[in-house]
Amino acid sequence: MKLLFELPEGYKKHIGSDEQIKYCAPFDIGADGKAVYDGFIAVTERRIIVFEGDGQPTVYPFDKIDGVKYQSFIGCGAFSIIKDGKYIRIASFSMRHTLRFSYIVKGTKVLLRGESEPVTSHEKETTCLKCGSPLRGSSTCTKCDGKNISLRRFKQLCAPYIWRLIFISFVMVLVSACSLYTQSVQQQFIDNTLRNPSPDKMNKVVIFVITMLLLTLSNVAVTIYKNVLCVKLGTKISMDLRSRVFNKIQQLSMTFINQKRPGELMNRVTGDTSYIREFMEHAFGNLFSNLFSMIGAGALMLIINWKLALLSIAFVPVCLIVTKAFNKKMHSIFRSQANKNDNLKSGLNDILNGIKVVKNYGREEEESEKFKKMSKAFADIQYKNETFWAILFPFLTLTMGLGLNFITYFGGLSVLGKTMTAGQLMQFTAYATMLYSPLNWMISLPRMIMRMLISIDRVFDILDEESELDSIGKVKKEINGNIEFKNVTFGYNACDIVLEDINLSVKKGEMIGLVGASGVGKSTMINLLMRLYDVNDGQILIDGVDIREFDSHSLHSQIGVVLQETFLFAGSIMNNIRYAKPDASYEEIVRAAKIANAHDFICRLDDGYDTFIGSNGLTLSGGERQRIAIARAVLANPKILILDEATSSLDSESEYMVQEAIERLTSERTTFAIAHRLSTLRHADRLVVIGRNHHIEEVGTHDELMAKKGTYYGLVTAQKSLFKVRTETE
Amino acid sequence: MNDKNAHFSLNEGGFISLDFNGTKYDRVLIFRAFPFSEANKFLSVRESIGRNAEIGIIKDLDDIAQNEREIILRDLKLRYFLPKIKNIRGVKSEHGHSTFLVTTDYGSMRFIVRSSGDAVTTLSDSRLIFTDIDGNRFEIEDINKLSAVEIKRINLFL
Repeated sequence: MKLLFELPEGYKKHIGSDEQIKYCAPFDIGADGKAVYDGFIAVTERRIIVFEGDGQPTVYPFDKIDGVKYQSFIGCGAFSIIKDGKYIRIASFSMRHTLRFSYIVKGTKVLLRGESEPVTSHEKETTCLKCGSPLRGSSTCTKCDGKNISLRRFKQLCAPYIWRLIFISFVMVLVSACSLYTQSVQQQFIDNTLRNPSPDKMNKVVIFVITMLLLTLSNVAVTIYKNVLCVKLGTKISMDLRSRVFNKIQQLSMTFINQKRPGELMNRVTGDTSYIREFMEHAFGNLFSNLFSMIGAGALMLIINWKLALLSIAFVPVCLIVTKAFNKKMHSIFRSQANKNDNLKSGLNDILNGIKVVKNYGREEEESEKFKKMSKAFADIQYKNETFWAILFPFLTLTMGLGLNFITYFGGLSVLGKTMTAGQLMQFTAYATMLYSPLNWMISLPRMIMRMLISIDRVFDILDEESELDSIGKVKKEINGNIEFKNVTFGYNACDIVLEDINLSVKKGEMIGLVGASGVGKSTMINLLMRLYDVNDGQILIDGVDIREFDSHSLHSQIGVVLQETFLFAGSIMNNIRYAKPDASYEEIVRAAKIANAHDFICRLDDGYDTFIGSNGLTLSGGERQRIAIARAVLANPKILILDEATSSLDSESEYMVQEAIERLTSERTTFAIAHRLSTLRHADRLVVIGRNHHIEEVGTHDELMAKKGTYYGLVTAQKSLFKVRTETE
Repeated sequence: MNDKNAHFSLNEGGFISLDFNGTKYDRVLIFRAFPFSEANKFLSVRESIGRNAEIGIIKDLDDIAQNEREIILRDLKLRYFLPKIKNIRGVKSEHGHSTFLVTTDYGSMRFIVRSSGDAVTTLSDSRLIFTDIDGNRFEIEDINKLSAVEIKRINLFL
């Protein structure tokens, strides 16, 4: 995301020659609540300057202000300065610039501290800054300079398959040559054989029929061969691409993955790659044959009768315009039909999912009414579209037909005037059909190409993404379990810092309980330790080595995790347990399950360890899933163990079972545990309380912290009184 | 809260100050409880510090003195960016995106939405919200007030 815009010429005179603009961006809401089109904020190394209109800009020198603040509101944000503890709003902006300004404010804070390290943003722009057209998640604009980039990417994509592509093109040319030649044979037959009938030419009829049959057969055979080749190549290209994208996604950091909307990555792996395949099959697969047919037909028509040929070619633009208008209309009406269909589907989905609530509150009739309305909206538009199609399509055929009628008329005159033979007229009309029929395809070609280029861009966007995480780390070693957080600061994006200046030293085998209100960054701390994200500032050391220097595979294989919601893959219980150690023996699996208190319930299942779980498999209870997850962690034998709300979604009995299993698991391992129910952390060696100010507030044992009567004491008493209320009401 | 016990004013930083039953707050935040259905009723006035504790509720903005009402409305416009579309001057659809050129209560604006169903939220039969690719929301309060030409322009989304 761009943080340094070019200041408009008229404003530049206000910038001193001795200062340099560090950040600059437009803002779009004025102080009076009206849209602003010429507002700019520039931050130099010594002041903030706000430009709006022709008047003097407002200047805030760094030495006159105490700080800057980015404020996030509903659908907009504000850039404020802090002076004497008070906020002064200097500009407001819509969502178009909120993220940008959150970074600029961050950068300004750095400058205010007298440092010069620039702040940059990895986020992508939503629209092209040059032409304003949407970028659809890719970083190059297909409208501006990006077309060349897209084409280069396309070439890069095709390069390994170039010989196959050339061969297919050759086959395509063969197909059209074949159909062009067929017409010529037909003409010969009519003019030479049929027009001068005599009994001795009977054998010529037979030869003609056989020739035609052979030509048709070879045409069909070559076409089939071409189609098979195209499909094969398309599938191959998209498969190669799919696995490349998938591999890349697995390598990328969570920051990148979280930036994408849910489903978007899925779409890129399946949707975009399959679009590239479709393009290969439908657009590319017909490209050369259609072009060759059209050019060939046109040329042959010119040879037969150039006047008539020019007439028919002149008719092509008319057909093009009509088809194009028709296509555009079709596109828009079917799009709105698809939208209505989506509404209907999601509406239905909503009602079906909530059917219990609907029944509970006796709202069946209202829901029926609502559904009927949606259904009618869809039916109406469907009716409209189908009628439109039914009426307009014949008209379209008529336009095409008119051209042919035209040719037949003038051609007929020529035949009567003896300037053309009947066979030639036949041949001519056949070529005219060949000239007109790909028009519809040709009109949609630009759209297909555009769509394909976008898909290529979206796919290459991932492939070209620099993986932030794998860049260094090569250390592979056995972890001991001493962990140190050193001045760690982190935020998922620049707007809000989640953890600030965290310092914590954990000895091998220690169990640390992370405590704090929800959203203060407990899970974030753990995500950082697992290196799903990289810290913004400071470092995390394991046995004195920065975790960024570890080989990520080696690091992850030594950290075990039990989360609140355990994800089990579709497959047998056995495979799920040995996910982390695929070569584990049966004995090891059973031992791990026993430690995890899972062995007994697994044995009671009909299929034992071979029970199939996951989608369309057996559904396990929360406690059972947790115990499988613990067995998985036991088997992995990690040096560092992470428990994130591992027992919070369980009932008391299964919590007891899981808790017991966890106690066995945590001995001898460095453990980080997060739990809302503070009683679950009673075995922790030390408790770390993270406050709302993103800092560590308190560290100590349960008793120490209770004696201190600080935040932890408050949390414990709050939970106790809640428990009291609960028991009293029961 | 009403014009008797609460007095709102603009502070030097462009934010709202409040004097409520004699207690002075230098900067307060005003939240809409029903930003769509009753934008100017049930406004929750909260502290700008700490956990944003609620100071009071303005049940109806009409209960507040005229000049203070304007101050509040101006502040809300800067805190809730939800332009109301008055005229649709043009819609251009291309490659799955539509670019809108509209006149709103904030002035003339241009925004881009995806041409698929998720760009529009229907609040009622006649009330729509467009969400653009940046996440900005634009409201059409009553589609029946639009001209036939304007309706035609947004037909794809109806």
